[in-house]
Amino acid sequence: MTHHLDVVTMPSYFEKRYDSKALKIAASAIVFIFLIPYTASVYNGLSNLFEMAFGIPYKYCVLAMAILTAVYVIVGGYVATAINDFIQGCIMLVGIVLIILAVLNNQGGLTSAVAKMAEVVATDSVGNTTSPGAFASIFGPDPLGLLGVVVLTSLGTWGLPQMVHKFYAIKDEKAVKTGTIVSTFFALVVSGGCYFLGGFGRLFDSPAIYSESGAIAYDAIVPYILETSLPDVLIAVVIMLVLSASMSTLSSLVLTSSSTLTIDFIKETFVKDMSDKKQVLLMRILIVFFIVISVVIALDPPTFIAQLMGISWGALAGAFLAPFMYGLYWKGVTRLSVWACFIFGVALTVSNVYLKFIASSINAGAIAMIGGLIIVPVVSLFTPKFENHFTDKIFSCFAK
Amino acid sequence: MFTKIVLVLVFFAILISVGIYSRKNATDANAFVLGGRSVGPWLTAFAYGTFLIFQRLYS
Repeated sequence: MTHHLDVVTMPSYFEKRYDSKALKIAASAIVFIFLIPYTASVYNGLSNLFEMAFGIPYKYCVLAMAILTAVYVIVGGYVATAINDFIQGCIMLVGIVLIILAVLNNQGGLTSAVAKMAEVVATDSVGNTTSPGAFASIFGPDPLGLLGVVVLTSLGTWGLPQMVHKFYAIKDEKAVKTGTIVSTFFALVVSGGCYFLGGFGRLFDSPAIYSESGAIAYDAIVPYILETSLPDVLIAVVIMLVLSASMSTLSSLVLTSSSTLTIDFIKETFVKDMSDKKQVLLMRILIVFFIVISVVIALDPPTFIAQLMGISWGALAGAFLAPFMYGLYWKGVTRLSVWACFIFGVALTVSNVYLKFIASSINAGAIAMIGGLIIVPVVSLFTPKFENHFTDKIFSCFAK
Repeated sequence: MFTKIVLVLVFFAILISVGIYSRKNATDANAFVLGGRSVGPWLTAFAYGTFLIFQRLYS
């Protein structure tokens, strides 16, 4: 359908689908306000890892990663980010498998590791003891909560402009199907691998993984496993894995921001007849600009941006998921319901930063998404619908 | 230490050369942003996958 409407960015999809320029401007504004802190948060995971592996200060890691990403995105555009994502994805899959094998090997093989695990008396983060054996289950102590997180992170992807962008680029409907199957498989391997590793983390009982209060410091477990049980080559794999995850996200974020700004905003508002060459040039300049901003923010984040970093994902997914998904499959979505969802998604996540009515930002994001999925159909029932011939025209691509 | 550095540098070199290789495809705006809408399912799926890992690592 996005091919049929000839849209390149998420805001322009909203404009065409709901026939409203104001919606597009609002959507572009939301993209900017939240994508910039999101970009800066990309560097978060690097600090500990690099200091451990090379003894290089965080500052230089951020700079190196930013420059490298800038070079390949600017020179090669989307094709380069897609091919590099593929390479990075392969490294991740191989890396996760290798790490699990190495960790198991270190613990004397799978069966003995599971046996040991069953004996470990599990201590949760508050310090309460739970029944022994709980961790021998692959899903860990809270299978339902885990399932919720997996479903929501997967579903939330459909509300994030930089991910939807990737699906715009795809060839045809058949390719979308193959893509969905492959990515589901990928997601299973990754989630399985991470939880497996997290579970086995408990076997590495050592003072290093306890925080000062005596509770287990979960963040410290994985780096500790890595440090004690991996050979040099595998540490390099881990570094590439984390770098890949960060660079791949950074590259798609800046490409999305710069294309939205160029195509939906500058070309639309100021320079109507911009040539193709100029558009590409402008996008390249903006990519540099966004990467520079992200580095500046990452090195010294102002308080309010640091707060936005945690919630940007929830706000974007909350505002965009429902209008995007319903808009693809249901003719009855009304313009006002889209507005309601935008406002709800942003208002809920931002007000939560200050009022703290929902403890974790992930839960707040989840509630924003679910709320949006309820709000759009409900508001659609009570507000004026689009004319039939308008929606028929939009949906005509499905009739073929 | 040496192995680590060499491996990471090789990784960097590959990423940059992919950028240069893709240069010829990035001629107009549509191609630059969307790869001319001709990107295959495997590349897209892996892009999605890398993002999921990112979410795992950071949230």
